[in-house]
Amino acid sequence: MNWLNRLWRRHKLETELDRELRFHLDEHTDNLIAQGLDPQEARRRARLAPGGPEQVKEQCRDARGTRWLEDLWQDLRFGARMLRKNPGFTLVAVLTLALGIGANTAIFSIVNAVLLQPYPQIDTDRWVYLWERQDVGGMPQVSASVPNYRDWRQQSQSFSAMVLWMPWNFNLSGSGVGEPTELEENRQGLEALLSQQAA
Amino acid sequence: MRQEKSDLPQGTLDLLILKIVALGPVHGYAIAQRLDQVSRGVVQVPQGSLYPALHRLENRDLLAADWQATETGREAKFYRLTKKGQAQLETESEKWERLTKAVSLILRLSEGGAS
Repeated sequence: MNWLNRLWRRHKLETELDRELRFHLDEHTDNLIAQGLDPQEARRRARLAPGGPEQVKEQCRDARGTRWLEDLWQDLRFGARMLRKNPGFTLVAVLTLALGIGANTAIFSIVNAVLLQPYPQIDTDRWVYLWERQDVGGMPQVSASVPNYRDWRQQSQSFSAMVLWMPWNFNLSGSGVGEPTELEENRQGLEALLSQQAA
Repeated sequence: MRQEKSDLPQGTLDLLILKIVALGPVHGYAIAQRLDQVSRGVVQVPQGSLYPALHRLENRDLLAADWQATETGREAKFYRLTKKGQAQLETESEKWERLTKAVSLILRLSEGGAS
């Protein structure tokens, strides 16, 4: 029987061990009786002779090689029994553990997602700004007008996506604060741009 | 005088058990008795050493065991030698012979003299 079998069948092995030692005891007793001893005395002597059947059993159990696992299992069962006897303590301990584990898991999930996961690479090397040129005012770079943007977007073949950036706090608009462009095509453009990058 | 373990080192006990069993299927008690008788009382193996040794030999497939009835009608666990056990017995016997010869040679050295 290999080690694993010995672990599963230990009850059977225990009964066998008991039988074997009982037989030994009986034989020894008979022997002593045959030598002339009184049966009671023989029985007593036989039982004393080897140093106690329980000790022998312990040593046989050691020989089985599954001892540490059996002992571990017994300790676990004992622990469980003690916990059942002290429900208050058990409750507090379980809640504390649950809180600790839960908090830890939550924090780690956040840290993992934010800090540890690689940031999706956005290949901004391939992005370009498109400006209009206004020779009248001598400005080489002016933000494009919306109709021009639309034309460029429809007609040019060189760009995989085009997005209109509305500058904030640009004094030309007069109101002082810019608004995010709400063009539908802008939103689609932005999606297309970012989804390409993420691939 | 109670001894927890026999005086024999573990390997030697295994060897002796294998030898006794080689003579024919036998149960634990008979092995202990045989050892006692043949060695004229020198080798007395307590149960605490005998049965763990038997079980270890069985776990290593050197012995095989099954339950049979004795003459008295009781059922006992009889051990017999396996092929592996036979081979082990031969190897160990040889080693023992070699060892004891060597020890004898050394012990026969007289003081101040070369071998």
